[in-house]
Amino acid sequence: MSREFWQETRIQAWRWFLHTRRRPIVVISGLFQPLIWMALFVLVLKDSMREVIVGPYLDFVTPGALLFTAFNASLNAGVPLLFDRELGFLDRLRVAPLADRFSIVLASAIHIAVITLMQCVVIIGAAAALGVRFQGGLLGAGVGLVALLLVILGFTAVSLGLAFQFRRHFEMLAVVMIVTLPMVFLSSAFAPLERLPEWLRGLVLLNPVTLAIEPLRAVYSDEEWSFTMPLDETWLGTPTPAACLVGLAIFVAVAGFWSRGVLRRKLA
Amino acid sequence: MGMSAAPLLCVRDARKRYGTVDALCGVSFEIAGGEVMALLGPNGAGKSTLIRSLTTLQKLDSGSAEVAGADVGANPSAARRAFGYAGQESALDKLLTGSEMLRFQAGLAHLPRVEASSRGKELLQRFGLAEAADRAVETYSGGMKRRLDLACALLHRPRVLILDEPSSGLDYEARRGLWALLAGLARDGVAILLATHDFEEAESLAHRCVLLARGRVAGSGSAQELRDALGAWVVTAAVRSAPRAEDRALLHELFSALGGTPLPESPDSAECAMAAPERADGRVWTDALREEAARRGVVLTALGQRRPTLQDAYLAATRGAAEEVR
Repeated sequence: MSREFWQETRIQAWRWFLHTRRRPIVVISGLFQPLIWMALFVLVLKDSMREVIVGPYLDFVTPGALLFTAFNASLNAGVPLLFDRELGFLDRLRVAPLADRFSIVLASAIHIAVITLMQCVVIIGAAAALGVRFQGGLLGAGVGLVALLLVILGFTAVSLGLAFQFRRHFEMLAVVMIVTLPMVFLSSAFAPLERLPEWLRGLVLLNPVTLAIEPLRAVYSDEEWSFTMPLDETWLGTPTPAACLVGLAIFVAVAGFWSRGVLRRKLA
Repeated sequence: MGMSAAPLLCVRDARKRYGTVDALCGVSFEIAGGEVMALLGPNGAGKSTLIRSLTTLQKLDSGSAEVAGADVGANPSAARRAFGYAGQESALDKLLTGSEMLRFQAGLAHLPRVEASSRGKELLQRFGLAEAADRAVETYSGGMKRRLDLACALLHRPRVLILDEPSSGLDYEARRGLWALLAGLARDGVAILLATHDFEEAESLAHRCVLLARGRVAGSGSAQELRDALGAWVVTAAVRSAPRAEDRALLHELFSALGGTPLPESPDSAECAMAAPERADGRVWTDALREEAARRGVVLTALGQRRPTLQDAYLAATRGAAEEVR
């Protein structure tokens, strides 16, 4: 990557951060949403989950809330770009002598990653205040961070790809709305895989959200975690944190490749 | 600096088709450094298609376009470095301040930080925005937004400036101010292509005009040349004695009898016009037309005579081209 590429990426990311600073309500609402979900899920499900979960439900749901925050923010990453397109601002980027238009994607991903990680720190702090402790040590924190970053990069790429596919933001918002809840509920974010029907368990394992949440939960709640520890048994196999991270990395690569292809095709 | 002979923008046989519609059918022209060319044409004439093709926002089907020697199809990156573009709407980020907007643009153009800062300040000063530099763009007036948009387009010192209706939505004062800025840029040697619907703008600024109709060049030249090509006078007349089509036929007969050239008219206009040379007998055309009408028993309800305007030349060329296509 050339010096010009990093310059144009930096300036585009700077613009997104200025937006965040001048419209903090977007970050605040993005922070409150998972906190509210956490509170509601704990209130509604803590008793019914007692039989299937070892330990308090809040410990179980905290990694789910972190993942939900990352997933939700990154899946919406393309919306501002669609507004740019509708308002003609994207043409400014298209006629600029950019070294590589992938800087548009990367700048957005950097912005979403930084903001989401800041939100995650607040959620971790709030959970810690309620007694949820991170058990995984320094290496576990690194694994958790990698899982979150992979989710952010992958879904940001998907979102930006969708933003280039659609012409109007309401089309994109409709798709995001349809996709969000099934992706979260067909994962182990708020309920363990054992609660799902046998046939669904394997399929849910193919969901990138599940692939991220399983290793994150392992490092969050188990001080004796390892990369090769078996997680949940499914007809598709018994995943390990290492296998989940590899699966996630493949998802990110495919999403990035697809998004880059769409970008080239649509902005040629 | 003034006008240079070497063309900075060359369009050769540009063609573009959308489905069954020919948006551009072999458009060719050149613009030299320091020259302002106005692109005039009705809606759907192909102006926006041409502008979008020249600014690499879309590709031509065939033909070529070069900006400062860079082919926009084969080498769009080099072309983008050579032109500056301001579209119909001011494409500005309303949450940014004026100086932030210029800093952003400088980053996209890969200007070094020090140069970006000094160039930004210079442009803010030149375009009368220095005092508003730290205000959010959303607080700017329409004229200020236009000037900032133009400053962004000029930040990387392009040799060619492509503008799509730069003064639309501006009040008279703001338009005059913008024209003065553009004239100054032309004096500095920038080649300017200006798509516009504003004849006053074209007359005030452009050294040459290209009249576009149905994707074709229907006429080109300076405003004076285009007016002169039409004739010395435009004579207008109306009768109201029969259905509209018959009125027209009657007037066209009258015009032809007097040696004038009927001009294509709007289908819903009650008035017909003819282009006419200076009369050899020194009489005014209105008298001759009134006399001829009386001799034929035709009652004229309106009669007028004036020097041709750029608008007359435009209407004659663009309506004529439309009728040819039909």
